[in-house]
This record gives sequence, C-alpha cells and structure tokens, in this order.
Amino acid sequence: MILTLLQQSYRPFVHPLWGGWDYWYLFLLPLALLVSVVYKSVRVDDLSLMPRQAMRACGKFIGSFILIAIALWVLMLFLEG
Amino acid sequence: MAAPRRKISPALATIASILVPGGGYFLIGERQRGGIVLIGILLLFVIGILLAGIRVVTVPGFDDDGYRTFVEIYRDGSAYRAVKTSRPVIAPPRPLGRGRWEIQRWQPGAEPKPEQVSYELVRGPRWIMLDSPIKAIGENVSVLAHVLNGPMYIGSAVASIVAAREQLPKSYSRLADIGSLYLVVSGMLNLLVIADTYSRASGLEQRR
Repeated sequence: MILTLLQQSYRPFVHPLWGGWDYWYLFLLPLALLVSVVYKSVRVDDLSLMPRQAMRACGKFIGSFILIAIALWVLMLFLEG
Repeated sequence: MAAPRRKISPALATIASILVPGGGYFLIGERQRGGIVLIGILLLFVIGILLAGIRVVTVPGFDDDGYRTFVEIYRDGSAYRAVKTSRPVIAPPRPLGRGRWEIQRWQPGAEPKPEQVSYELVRGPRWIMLDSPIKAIGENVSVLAHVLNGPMYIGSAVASIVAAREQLPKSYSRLADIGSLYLVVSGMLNLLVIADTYSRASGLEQRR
C-alpha cells in the first residue's frame, strides 16, 4: 500500500525515477552514447566524420564497462575463495 | 569540411560558453557543433535529474534540510572549538555559572528552545574552513563537477534547496548514483567545451 501511495505521488524531476531499479546498468548506455557524441563533436574538425567516430568511441566505452565488470566479478570470486 | 569561422574575441566566446553550453561555437560561426554540444549537455543534465530527482544537485554551504551552514567558535578553557551548524544562535548566551551557558538556536519553522552548552561562544556564526583545503576539495569533487554546468546548475540548485526545505528526502539508490554520474559528466564535458571554445576562437586549435 505504501508503495502504491508513493507511486501515485511520483513527480518527474522532483522525485527519483519510479521503477527501473533492477536495470540501472542499462542507463549507462545513453550516458556512453551522449559522452561519445559531445566529446567527438569537440575533438573532430570535420563534423561529417563525427557520427562514425562517436559510434566507435561509444563501442569502446561499453566494451570497457563489460571488461571491467568481468574483471571485478573474477576478483570477487577470487576474494570469496 | 569545417565551417568558416568568424573573428570573435576569445574571452567573449569563452563567456558565451560559460553562460550557455556550446554558446561560444555559435558566436564563432560553428552552429552545427554548438547545436550538437548544447543538446548533448542539456540531455545529460536533464536525464541526470530525471533519474535521481532534484535533490541530487548538491549545494555547498547548505545542510540536508536546505539551510545555510555556519561554524560557531567556542572557548573551552584555553583552547578553541569549532562546531559546524545550520542553526545559529539568535540571542546572547545567558550565563548559568560554572562554565555553563544557556543559548537559543534558530529552528526552521519552529519556536527556539533554550539549550544548555558548556562552552563560551566567543564569536558569532561565520564561515571558516574546518578541514584542510585538499580534504575539502576531495570531499566536494562531485559538487565542483556539478557547478561546472553553469547557469543550469544555479537554477537547479535553487530548486534543490526549495525541495529540501519541503522535507523531500535525498535518494541514495543505485539509480541516484547513476543520475549523479550524468550531472558530473555533463559538468566535465562543459569544461572541455569552454576550453575548446577559447582554443578555436583564438586560433590555437589550428596551430596544433
């Protein structure tokens, strides 16, 4: 009942997002995309090259996230014995 | 092909970028670059607040209830003691004898209650740095990155203080962390944009 009341009183931008707690890692994807687009817009001189370079940078970001997650998971397995 | 640039003072372009993300690019004639940067940084900022709520915006110098914090200095024998508070003393301390004093603190939306303290308040509430500068900056690195968002930050900081005074709680969920990350990243990118605008307006970037 408390959860229902909280859901009814939810106001976007005032309260934290309602729901999506179990999928928090999916919100890293738009972050990686937006960072890549803005960063490459600043770095490249010819903006026609930007979309391709931004996609490549975004892929590198997401690949790095996955590799770091795997490395931390292996480390946790090692520490837990 | 790079768009032809207009001759604009680098200082003016930098100020425009501080006021509006990517504003300096519009001034030097790189409208497409300015538009992409403006939309990108705005989206990062807006999504951050959408994920974590307005209370994610940290305002230095204000407590969790949205009130200014002060430092009170007390004399404890021959030593001095500094206490951080957002409830300043509003009347002269009344001596109770044997080093004890009665003080009245301002309360948000409530009548002040008499309170007994053992130390003598030697100065009024004031701003001092309690910790070493390096520690203070280290603890507030995320605040610094939030502030780099410029006018967007100022507007949302005011909204955050209003929400805090209405007793809206802060969120400490994983999503709130991600939201804070969005705000930090948008601030850092804005700093990069400001530096790049100066570089392009002054022609340094072409000489690289």
